Amino acid sequence: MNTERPEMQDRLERLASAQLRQLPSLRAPAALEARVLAAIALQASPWYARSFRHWPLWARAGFVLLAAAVAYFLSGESVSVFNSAHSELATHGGGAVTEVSSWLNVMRALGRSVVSILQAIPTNWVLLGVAMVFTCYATLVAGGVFAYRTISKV
Amino acid sequence: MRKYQDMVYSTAARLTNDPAQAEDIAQAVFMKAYERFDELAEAPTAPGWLKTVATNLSLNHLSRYRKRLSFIGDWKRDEDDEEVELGPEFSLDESQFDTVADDERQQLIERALQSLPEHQRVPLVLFHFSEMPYQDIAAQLKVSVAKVKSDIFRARATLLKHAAIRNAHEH
Repeated sequence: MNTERPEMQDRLERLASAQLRQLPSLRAPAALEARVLAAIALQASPWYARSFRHWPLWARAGFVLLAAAVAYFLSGESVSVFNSAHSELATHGGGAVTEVSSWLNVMRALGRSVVSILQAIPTNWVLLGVAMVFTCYATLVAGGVFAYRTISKV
Repeated sequence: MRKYQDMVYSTAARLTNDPAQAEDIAQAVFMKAYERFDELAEAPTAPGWLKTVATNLSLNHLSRYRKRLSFIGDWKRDEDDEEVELGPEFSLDESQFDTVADDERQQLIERALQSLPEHQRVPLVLFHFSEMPYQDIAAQLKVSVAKVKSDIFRARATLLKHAAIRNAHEH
């Protein structure tokens, strides 16, 4: 039967429209309303109680800057600044200040250790590691594609 | 929300043909509506707004899904040379489904709609349920108007053929 004739197209459109017009809406799942209400409740909670992705831009930027400052401080680059501050504290400070400064000493030593370990890794090893990660990722994607195509043909 | 949830869910479910995805899209639609609650609460355009957002989110989902599948290399855009043959089970007689009860006929059509390939189902749903003109559908789907008309025509033929075959088999 040739379906390309104009009169056939008109009748087909009329019949299809009549049938489709009578279709009622599909019933939404019963859980939909509860899901939406839960999502709205989550949205209404303060930004700091939600995940980092939902923080306001200034808070995210502030956090990143703070983290960078801490990393810089721990990396030992700020040793001279820290040493002068430490001497000042040791001269004028009491017991609590001494405790804080000894805690800072531990953190500084830890930061130095991490930096010296990172600096001790040969460049070739780093490149080899990156290449291995890339190879593993590519293998995983290829495996996924193969599995998808195999399963979708079944 | 209760008043419109079936309409929003139906729009997404018929476009995506994926109940779980349709539920996610319906949730996103109501979240967007909540953000604009003051504007929409008493607006007579609220149902239209909800339907448009549901349609756009569904089309965005289909577009992303298509990109992923084309990356995997297992998605055929469409079959331009396919020819729909209605066959002997089918006639364009408007009374052919009259012997079937309403709810049964609706189920036949709904199942036939779900069985359509995406490139036929999506323009058909946009035309008949979202009442979009051919030009808008073509713009949304980034294809020519002639292609949209051809796909909708084939979709109608396939839909009614599938429904007629199911009807013939079940009775």
